[in-house]
Amino acid sequence: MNPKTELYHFVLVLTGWSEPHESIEDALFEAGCGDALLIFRNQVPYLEFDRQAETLEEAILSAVQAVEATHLGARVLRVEPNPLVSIPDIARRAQLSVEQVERLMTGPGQGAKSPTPVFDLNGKCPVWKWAEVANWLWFHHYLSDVSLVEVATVIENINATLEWRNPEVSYRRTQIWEKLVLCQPGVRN
Amino acid sequence: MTRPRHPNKDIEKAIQYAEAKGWRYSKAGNSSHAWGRLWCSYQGREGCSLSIWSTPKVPEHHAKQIRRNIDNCPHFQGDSDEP
Repeated sequence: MNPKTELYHFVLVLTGWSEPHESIEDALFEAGCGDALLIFRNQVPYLEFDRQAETLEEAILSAVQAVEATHLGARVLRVEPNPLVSIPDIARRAQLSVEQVERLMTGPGQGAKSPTPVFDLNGKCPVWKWAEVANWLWFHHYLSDVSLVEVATVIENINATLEWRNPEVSYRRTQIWEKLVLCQPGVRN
Repeated sequence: MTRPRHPNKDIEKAIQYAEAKGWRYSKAGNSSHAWGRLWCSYQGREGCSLSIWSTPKVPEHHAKQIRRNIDNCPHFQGDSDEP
C-alpha cells in the first residue's frame, strides 16, 4: 500500500543565478523540479512548488536537494512563506481582523502575554516570528487550523538550518554560543 | 514574435491570461524541457520572468502557478479582466 501523501505549496528563494537560461531550466527539470515554476523577479530566482509528499518537511528537503544537485552554482537561501510577520500578515494568515490582532499582540491589559516581537520592539512596525505567534494563537483558541502551527515550525527550522550552512554564519554563531555557555555559572574551563 | 500554442489547454489559457496583462513570450533558447518564457511588462532586468515547462508533472498545478505569479507581479498596472 502506498503511504498517504499530500500536496504541499512552498517557495524556495535561490541565489547564484540572475536570469533564466536553458541550461538552468533543463538541469532543474531533469533534477525533478517539473512540479515547480521557475521565476526571476528583480534578478532573484525563485522556485514555486506544488509537491506531493508524505510530510511538508520531506517535500521541502527533497526540493532543496534536487536544486542543489544540479551543480550549476545555485543554493537555496530560504523557504517562503516568510517566517517573519507583521500585524496585517498575522491577520491574513490567522483569518482574524487587523484590529483584533493589534489588540492581542500590542494592546494594553492583555490577559495572556503574547510573543515578543523580534524586530522593532518599540517602533511602529513590529515583526514577529510566525511560528511563535501561530503556536500562541492556537494555545489561546484564536486559531482553528492546528496544521498552520506545524507548517510554521517546519519552515522556521528549515530556514534556520539553511542559514546555519553558511560557513561564516556557523563559525560566528559557534563562537558566540561557546562564550555564552562558558559564561554560565558553574561552567569552568 | 508569433508564439506556439502550449499543448496543454489549462496552461495555454494561463498564458493567454498573462498576455492580456501585458506579458510577452520568448523562446527558451534550445531548452529541451522549457516550452518558453513569459516576461512581465516591466522593461528591464528588474522585471519578472516565468519559465514554462512543456510537460510539467501536473499541468493543472503549473497553470495555477502561472496565474498566481501573474496576479502577484508588482509591476502590473491596469485592470484585471480575465480573457
